[in-house]
Amino acid sequence: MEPAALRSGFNDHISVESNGGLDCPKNKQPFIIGVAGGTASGKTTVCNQIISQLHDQRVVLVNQDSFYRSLNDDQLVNVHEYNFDHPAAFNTELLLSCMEKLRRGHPVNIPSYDFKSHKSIEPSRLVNPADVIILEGILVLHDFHVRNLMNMKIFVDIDSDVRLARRIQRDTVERGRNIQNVLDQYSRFVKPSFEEFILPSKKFADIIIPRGGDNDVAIDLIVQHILTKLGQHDLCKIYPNINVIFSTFQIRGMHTLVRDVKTTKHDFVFYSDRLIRLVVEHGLGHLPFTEKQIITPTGSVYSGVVFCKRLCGVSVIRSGESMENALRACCKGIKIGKILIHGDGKNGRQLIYEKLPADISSRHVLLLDPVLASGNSAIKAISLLLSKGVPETSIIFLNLISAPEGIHAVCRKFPKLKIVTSEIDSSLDKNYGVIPGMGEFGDRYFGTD
Amino acid sequence: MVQIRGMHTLIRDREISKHDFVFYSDQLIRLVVEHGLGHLPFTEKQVITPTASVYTRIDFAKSCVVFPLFEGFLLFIYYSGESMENALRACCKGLKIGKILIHRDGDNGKHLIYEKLPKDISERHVLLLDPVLATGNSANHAIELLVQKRVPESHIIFLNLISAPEGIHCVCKRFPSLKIVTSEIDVALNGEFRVIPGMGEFGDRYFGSDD
Repeated sequence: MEPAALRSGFNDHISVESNGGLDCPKNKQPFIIGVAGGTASGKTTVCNQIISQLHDQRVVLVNQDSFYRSLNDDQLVNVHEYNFDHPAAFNTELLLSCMEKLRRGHPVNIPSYDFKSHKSIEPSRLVNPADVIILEGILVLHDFHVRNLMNMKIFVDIDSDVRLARRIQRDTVERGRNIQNVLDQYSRFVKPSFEEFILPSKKFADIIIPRGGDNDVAIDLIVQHILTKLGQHDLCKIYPNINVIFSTFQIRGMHTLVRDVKTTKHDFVFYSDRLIRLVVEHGLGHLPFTEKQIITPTGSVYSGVVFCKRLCGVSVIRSGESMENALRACCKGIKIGKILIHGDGKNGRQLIYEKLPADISSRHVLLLDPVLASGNSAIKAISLLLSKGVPETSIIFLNLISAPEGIHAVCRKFPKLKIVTSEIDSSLDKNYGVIPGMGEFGDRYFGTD
Repeated sequence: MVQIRGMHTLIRDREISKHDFVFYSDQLIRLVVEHGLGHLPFTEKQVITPTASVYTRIDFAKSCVVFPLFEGFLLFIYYSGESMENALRACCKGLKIGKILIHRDGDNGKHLIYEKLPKDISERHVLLLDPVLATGNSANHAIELLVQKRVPESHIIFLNLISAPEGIHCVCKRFPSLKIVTSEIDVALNGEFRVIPGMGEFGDRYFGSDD
């Protein structure tokens, strides 16, 4: 990005609040942001604003410049012939391995690059894992593998004339360089590399920020998104179609009761009904709606919404039937279809019985199953709905608890369907039971154990 | 949540049938109560699930719900059954329900004419349920009564379906450590101290006493 000599005395390898990091909870993956853009586009300003607005979070900034390759003696002699804006100038393998370690929650040593000697120097900088990792640099969106690590890709986009003007300003006034050298460097390396490598990487960005650091609205939206994602389960960062209902202590309290092996059947039914109702209410909120104005008894106008009326429930026998009452209590007279799938273990799930409304393809379908374990029966059920002509986008799958394995299986196969669940559990055991889970839901609810 | 706006659209509509009004207000009350319950303090414990795994358990503080009943409200809550209470009982098993009747006498002169509260109310967290918060004067009366019964102000959660900004100012200024949980905040009060756009007299519509 910068010709080496220009950077002398200028150190922007800031580590921001990488405090400790040892208390980083297991399984909690950091949110990784890539910030790319041409030279003098305002990347650093954007990063600093994001960091300052994320003041409560642990944030680490990693600069791609730290991964410049050391120059050998020949290159040092002809340093003005060296293209610092070319992807080959960076040690991308090392960058990848460092980012991979940080992502797994391990501390890493990030090299220190000396812009006077054009070499990596000791000591390297120890960076502890954090909640948010920002990787900034001109070419961070260039490499496929590096891009793949990112949860959010930002491109700071500013008119080339403005960037050149800023660069001349910075290099001549602040760094005392000769203007002819600056222009020469710009036209020989900086501009061609920008056009060949940096600009094409813009198409990979999730967000393009015009006007860089001055764009308060963009920064604010980005920060809001990061905060939302940080509060979510890791799986929600991967699959945007999973909705975990907003967890209160009351909801955790109900989970405590339904999961407790000592809970009586009566209490189990009571508290699972209550939880189911919340999941159903939440699921209904994902139906399409239209705006509607009504007149209140005071004669005033209220601007409200009406929901799509063409819906139906489909319960997966037997556990799914426990969710029917809550659905009926929320939607009077709703049609409910049934599917029976049977079979043990990972494979061999068979569709045994189905009874669905004849016009199901024109309805929004709420698929009911309290526990999503391996996802095998869910996939069978969803495939059946699709074969009946129900569009994937019209299916909302309601669960009380979901195992990550089931979420992976269902969301990979049906990326457009929505899952609404109240908690995501840790895993499956070898018998495909959810851990910690709540046992065989149907047996406990209907008292058949 | 859009779902809540959908319910508001139904219950605020002056054309809705009484039956639907009761059905959807119960549904909304239930959500507000669930939300209010989420503000109760708790302690953590660990329980064993049937798969023999450990799950961290939450235990809640004791609580009760209090209805302030304004004017004709009391009569009908006894006559027309306990459907609103059912919405509550569906959330809290063994719930204790207290009642207060405050008579509205002119614009500001209100006095308490009836109260029935659990004896140990001072040891409980109290969910005070009033569907519409208008000026806040009646609410302040009810809260004042609870405070006199030695319920700490911070143990009171005031639940509304609709709150007017005037009422929120009035209650929050006087009782800064109390919590309000509401499903929507409306625009303002009109000259007759009714909430705009509001939903009219909740009690009359719920219990059908305006027919």
